[in-house]
Amino acid sequence: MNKELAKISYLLAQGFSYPGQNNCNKTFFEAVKEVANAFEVPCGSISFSKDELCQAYTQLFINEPQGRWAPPFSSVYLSAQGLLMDKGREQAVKFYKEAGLEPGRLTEPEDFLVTELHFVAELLDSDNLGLLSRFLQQHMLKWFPCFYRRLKALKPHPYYLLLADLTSRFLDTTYQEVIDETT
Amino acid sequence: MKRRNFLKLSASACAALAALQLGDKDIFRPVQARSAAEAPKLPGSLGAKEITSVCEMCFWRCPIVGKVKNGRLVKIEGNPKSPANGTRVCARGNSGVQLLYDPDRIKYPLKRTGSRGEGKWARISWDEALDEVAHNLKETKRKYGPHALAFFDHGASAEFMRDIFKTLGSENYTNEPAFFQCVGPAALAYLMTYGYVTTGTRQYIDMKNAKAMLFIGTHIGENVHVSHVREFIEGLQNGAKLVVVDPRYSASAAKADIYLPIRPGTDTALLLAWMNFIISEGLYNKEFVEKHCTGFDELKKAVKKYTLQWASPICDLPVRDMKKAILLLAGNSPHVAVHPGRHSTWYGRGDTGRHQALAILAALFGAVGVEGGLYFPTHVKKGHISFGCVEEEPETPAKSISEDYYPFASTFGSPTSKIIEATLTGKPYPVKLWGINGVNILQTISNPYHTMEAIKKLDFIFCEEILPTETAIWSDIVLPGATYLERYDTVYTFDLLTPYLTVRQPVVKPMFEVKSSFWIARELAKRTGLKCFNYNNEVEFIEEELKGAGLTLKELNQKGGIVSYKANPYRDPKEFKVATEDGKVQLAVEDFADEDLDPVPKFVPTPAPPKGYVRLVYGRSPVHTFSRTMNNKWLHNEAPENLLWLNDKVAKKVNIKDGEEVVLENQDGYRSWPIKIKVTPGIRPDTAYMVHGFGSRSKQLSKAYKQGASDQFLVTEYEDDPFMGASSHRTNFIRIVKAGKVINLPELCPPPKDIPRFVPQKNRTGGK
Repeated sequence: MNKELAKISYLLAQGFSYPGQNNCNKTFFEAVKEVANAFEVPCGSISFSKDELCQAYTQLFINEPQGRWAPPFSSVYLSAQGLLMDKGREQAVKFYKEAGLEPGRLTEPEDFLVTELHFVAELLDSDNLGLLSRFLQQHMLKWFPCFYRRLKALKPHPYYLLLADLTSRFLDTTYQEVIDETT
Repeated sequence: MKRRNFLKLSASACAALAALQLGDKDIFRPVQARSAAEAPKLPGSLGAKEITSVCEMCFWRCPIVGKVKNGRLVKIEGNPKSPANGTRVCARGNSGVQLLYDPDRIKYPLKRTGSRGEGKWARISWDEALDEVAHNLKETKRKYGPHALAFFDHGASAEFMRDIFKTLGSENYTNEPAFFQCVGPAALAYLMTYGYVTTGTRQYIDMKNAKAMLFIGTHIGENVHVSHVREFIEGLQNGAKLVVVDPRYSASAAKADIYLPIRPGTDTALLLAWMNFIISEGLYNKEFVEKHCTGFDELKKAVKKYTLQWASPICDLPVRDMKKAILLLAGNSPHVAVHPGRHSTWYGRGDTGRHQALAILAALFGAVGVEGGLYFPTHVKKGHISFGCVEEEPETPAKSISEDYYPFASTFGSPTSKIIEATLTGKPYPVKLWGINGVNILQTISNPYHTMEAIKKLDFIFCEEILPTETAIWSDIVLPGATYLERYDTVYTFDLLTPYLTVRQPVVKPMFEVKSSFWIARELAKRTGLKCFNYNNEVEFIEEELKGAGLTLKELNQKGGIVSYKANPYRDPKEFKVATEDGKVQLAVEDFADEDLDPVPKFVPTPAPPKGYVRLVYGRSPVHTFSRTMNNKWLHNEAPENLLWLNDKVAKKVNIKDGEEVVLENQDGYRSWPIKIKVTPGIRPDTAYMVHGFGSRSKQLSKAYKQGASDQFLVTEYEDDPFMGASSHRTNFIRIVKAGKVINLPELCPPPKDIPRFVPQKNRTGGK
């Protein structure tokens, strides 16, 4: 079961990465749809062009022309200053170190949503459920709901709204699963 | 969802998941030993790693120390070994942390997907971004020739990209708003009088040892450069007397022994009358003038008609006050700090003359090369570097933007107003591509509406930017530049009273995909097919520069990142020589006469406000730099918006209360964002004032957008300085719109008949 959840976490991480060949194709969209069905999240056909998703992604997560965007970094939501590289990043790095890991290739700050979803997957893959439980409870479930609310308020592109809905369900479910298994 | 349901449905989901290659193995790696060690758990910046560097929250560039804990910059302080600022940095210097970690930053290369100005982008790769810029540079040059390329630049980081435009053969490789919208007229006046740029990025004025100081519009304290402010305050502490001439009761005016609230646009009248007074009264430094100046007779003759009595109604100042001030200054000569000023693009036609008058006045006091006067820079030796850019044989245009409009423009580059005009009209030749680096042109150059129209006509526009400014949202490609805390630059030398050598180096690794300006320029040169930048990285040329100073980067860092030198600012009268051709101070500039310009300044009145309007002037806030820092949260918290200073008597007559929010309308009908009124006796009735740089029009600047009003977007009327083509900024007038109703402002200080009134041009594009 944990391996399957890990795959979903990887899938969501890939979904929240910038659109490219790996996450903008029929097979990928099909997998997202299947996972949506699994989570009972309403979902029509998913078919978007890369250009459309690139523009939507840039506006939602990078720089938005109306100044209404949802930075996918925990620090923005966990510190009063709303800055990058603040408390959220410090927390995330601490958890990574506890697992004996550190982010390697990404140029984004360590508390990037994609990196954190990868971390969840790594912990699920390695059955490190105690740490996962604490990571979710003490960190990710503290900020992701704020990000999710902010994103929804922006009336975002339906694909990213779907991914956010799925991620919210996934995190809640995983936390419940982990609690069930560790208590 | 219940677990049972999930398990039940997971088979179909698993099949889809199995078809994908999921999980990027490179995202995490095992903790490496070197990074495993965490900083000690001490509060704040205690226990942090310290890296020396150079600030760039403003152009003064104070030496700093960045304190880094677990890969995060936690604090910035002054470099304790700096003789200029010591451990001190200003509010902006402290707030560099907020620039670095601002979520609004430009993080990746961006390509415009909406219309220009809309700010809709898609993230693209560096390869795509650089290839597209390089392709457009080559294609524009092929179609229209090299001069169709124009570069707007500012600051150290822009110098690398400037070489690309130069190597491509454009005469428009530098159009620095820093000169054409700011210091140009003052720099030219002092260069021609003394042979060196006495005021440019820095001002060589010894306030610390002065016995008297004169500020014309200078407002140190609101305009904060740490060592400059310290020297000013030390001068006052040592007992120096201060004369401040300003239509507004500024922070400097509040410390003045004599404050002269002059009518805007008449400063040169005052200076000419003062010169005539000290010459006719024999109060000038005869020995200095005789030995070290040329052109005295011409000066004496030219200023003879300007008496204090003549100046009084023009300047709206009592004769007794003007006289008292000049006697105070002359009585302390030669130790008189006649501040050369910096931002001098005020009224257009009289700007070079005004600063030439200041330069001459200092010479008449003999206040040059002595304690308390203008002083000489102390050159700090460093190695010369060449990027090996091979320029093509320059193709001379039939009519040059740089050389054929204003005789002294080419000293500084191509006038920005003429680049914009050429882009709009295709004359004298078409300009089709703009590159921009280090400057937000829409919040800097006069008449931003013209600038936007010009941008619409371009084939291509790109910029290197840190934040999504107005310039960025009008660009086709935006290249994400590293902040000063993430990059190297060239070696910095400081040649003022506390000379030193230091180097900017990264304090933390670059965020996201931002790159240093050198890297960007080098990559762009390669893709444009230019032979340029024969160093692989910044450290290679920094080492070569340091070698010339007998240092290596390692040694410099071991010495605390900075090396100080002994200053040589003063000259023995026997050895006194300035950097002009004959070694003498030019009281009349023959080079100006050769170009049919006045060799000695004369008073040229600038038009007075039309009825119902007051003149708009602007200045600086101690916690902001131009329009660059308004999105910085700490600084935003200190000063989130600007206020409009309005004279109390004027406000009373039109029933406007302190704190009321209004809209401003200029003489061409352009309106501002809402701004609050500060009712004060500290400004003349014919003048209104606001701090520059607010009222951002970029919605992507989440903290700066629509905060206060932009003075720049009210500057639609401008006149070029006839000497070097700088554009005026204080030639605009405003009235007030309250609750949708236009309010004409009463005229309480009517101009004398010698000063004409402003008449709007018939074909203006106002009313928006």
